[in-house]
Amino acid sequence: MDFTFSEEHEMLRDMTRKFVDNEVKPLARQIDEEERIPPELMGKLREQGFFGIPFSEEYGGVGAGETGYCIVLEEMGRGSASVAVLLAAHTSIGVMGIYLDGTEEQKQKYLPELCSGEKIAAFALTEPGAGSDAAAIATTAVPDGDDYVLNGSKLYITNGDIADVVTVFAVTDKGLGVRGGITAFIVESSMPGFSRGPREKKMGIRGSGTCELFFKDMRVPKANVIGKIGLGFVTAMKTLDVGRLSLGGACVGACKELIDLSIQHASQRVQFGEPIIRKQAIQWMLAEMAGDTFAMESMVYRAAWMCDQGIKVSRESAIVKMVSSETLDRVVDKAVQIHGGMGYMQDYPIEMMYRDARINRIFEGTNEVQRMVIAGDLARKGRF
Amino acid sequence: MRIAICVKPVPDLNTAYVSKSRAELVEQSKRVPNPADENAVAVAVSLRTEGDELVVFTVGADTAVDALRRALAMGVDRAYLIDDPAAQGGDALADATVLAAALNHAGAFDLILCGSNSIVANTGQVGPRIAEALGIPHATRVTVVAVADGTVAIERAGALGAAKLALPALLAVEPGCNTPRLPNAMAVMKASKKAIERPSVVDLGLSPDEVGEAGAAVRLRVVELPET
Amino acid sequence: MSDQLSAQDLMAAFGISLEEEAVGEPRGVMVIAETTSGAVSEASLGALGLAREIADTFGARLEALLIGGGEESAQALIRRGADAVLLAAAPAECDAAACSSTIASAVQARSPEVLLFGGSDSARDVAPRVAQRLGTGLIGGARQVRAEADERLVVGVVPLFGGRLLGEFACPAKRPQAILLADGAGRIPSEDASRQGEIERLAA
Repeated sequence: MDFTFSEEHEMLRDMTRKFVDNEVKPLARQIDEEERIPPELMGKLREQGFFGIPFSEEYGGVGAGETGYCIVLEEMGRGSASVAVLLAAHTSIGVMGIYLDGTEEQKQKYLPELCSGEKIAAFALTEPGAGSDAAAIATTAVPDGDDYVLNGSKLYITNGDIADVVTVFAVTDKGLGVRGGITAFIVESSMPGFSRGPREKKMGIRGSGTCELFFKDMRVPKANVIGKIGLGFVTAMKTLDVGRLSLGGACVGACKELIDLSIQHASQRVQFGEPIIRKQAIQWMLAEMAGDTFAMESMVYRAAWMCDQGIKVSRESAIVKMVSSETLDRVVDKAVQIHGGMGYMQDYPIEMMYRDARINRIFEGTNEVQRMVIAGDLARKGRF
Repeated sequence: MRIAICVKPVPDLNTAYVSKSRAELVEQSKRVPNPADENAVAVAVSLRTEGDELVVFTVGADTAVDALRRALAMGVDRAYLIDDPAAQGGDALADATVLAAALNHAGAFDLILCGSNSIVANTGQVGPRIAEALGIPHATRVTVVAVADGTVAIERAGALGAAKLALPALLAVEPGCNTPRLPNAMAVMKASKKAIERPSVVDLGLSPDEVGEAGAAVRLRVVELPET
Repeated sequence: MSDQLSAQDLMAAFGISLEEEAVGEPRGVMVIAETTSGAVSEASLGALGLAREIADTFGARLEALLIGGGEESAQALIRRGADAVLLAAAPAECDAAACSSTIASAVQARSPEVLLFGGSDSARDVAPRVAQRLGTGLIGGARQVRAEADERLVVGVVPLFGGRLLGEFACPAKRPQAILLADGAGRIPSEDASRQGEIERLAA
């Protein structure tokens, strides 16, 4: 077993780290306070090719695979969770459905501009009445001539405020429900009938835009159906399977950054005559943070490798998402405690990272849903 | 134009530290391109026009490959790595001899660029030595370069001022004369597919006693800690 | 002046002549003196001071190769310690290739065992070319030099990695041992008006 990263992956990490140090970290607090990512930074993210990392060069992507993508998100996660989430929602779920299940025509039409970041993507499944119970969506799609007419709304859509291309899930046959009744569509924000609600004000990842989407008699060409009519839920699950993995990458980056900051702080903070890093209470916390992070990192890259090999990763990605988000919560909590009062002050990044971390147990499928997926798989297989 | 850049892999001083007990530099990460050589690569990339070829040359072992890939990611087309064990451990005389031979082996270049000095000993010898070996004009501490009609107009830091040289010429560029751009993800992935040739000392028409430790005139006898 | 007879002197005394190849060992110290605004530069004077110390330790003659200066500058070099001065015309636009050619020819004609340059941008431009032409080593950026009499070796102390460490370098086999000082590393010698020396004009 060779656990080394390839040359190009090492270089990708190195480049991303330098970018994050020079361009992202200095703006992280401003992004949180202003609740937006400045256009100049968006431009630089595009120039660096960060919007197309895992996708094949054939479609204008970078061709770095799931492993390269997790590496990039890890490094982004060290600097700003808001920026990491922008990229992740665009890449892992926004574009991914088209990439996995789109026709050749759809891929040629949409992927190049999405990979370059000229256009931003989003994934719209959740509705006011359908969160974890995704099958309960109520947005309808009725066939009419060459189009489907969509009516309904989506809630809490990440990148919803800026997305040009949205993968929308709608009911095409109420009677069939999940099996055969839901269809996935490529929706363009320019289509008449498409509108967005105001941005939500959130606890964390405040630089990432989250809002409602409304579809009023919106005509979507039949050519924009992703995969087969009625099999949209399969596309949704396949997309989320891959998407969840990369969330682990961003969590790894955040944990490593928190550990580094905590070590630095504990090495300088003198109480009772010596730096607190010499105190066992702090040492135990750092050790646990490191143990947790090493385990998380190993798991993320192993799952990414499996994904790159073409191995189905449904259970593994659910585990990655569940364990990474819960690990990050433990690590960030210890980081706050190690920093003491400073961990609560907005002068330091710790409190922002604490607020940013909490969403990971909720979005991309709550950890309760992940447990359902894992347990369902265990029961089905009859063993680990 | 064909442009060659000579790059020296050096310890990463951001992560290396001095062991006081052993009076030596302990490296903690991969070797990096000498900063002034990176500036030289950036100059080469900025001068590039349609049809130009950029080639990077390095003397080193496998540890030099990362530094080469970084130059390739910045926009260089291909690389020559002289990793023949016989060529390692040389001084400026031996290294310049090898590099000049490699440059000749790779064909005629219009412009050769390198850093004006390295972070190792800061003496800046190799560039002028290569120019002498190739019989071409050179300039050191170059800060600004403009190519036109078979000549290159330069500005230099320090006492030397502006000048014009006929091509082919060698320019040793001043560290910090530009800010190398971070390669983007596409360039990074492309870099790993670009060719790295590894000619042997024999391929270059040299004998082992002209190169490497055997060919070095200057020897490092002792390394010590500075006084204070 | 040294009492030592070189191998060449001895052989000449006994009427033994050698083939062209086996010339007598290089002897003597040569320092390169540049001029700025008509006078010998401070860097060159500093190098002269150290060259004198090396010459004294080895019991060798000290010649200064003066680039672009005249009688007056030559006399100044003699007053400050040179035993002889070679006058070389500076190429019109002192380009490094032409300058180093001039110096290399002089070195080949005079066969010094040590060649010293004071630290300056132009010296850093020229010295490496000279060393490559002569196929010899150059100890660059030396903050300090030390002459070791028994080995007839000059050791240069050079800062490494921005001064984190110091390296002691020497050129044991190839000749001349060329040294290029770091800026300000020389020692300007005092003047002695009574000193005499030869001034020779080098053929172009």
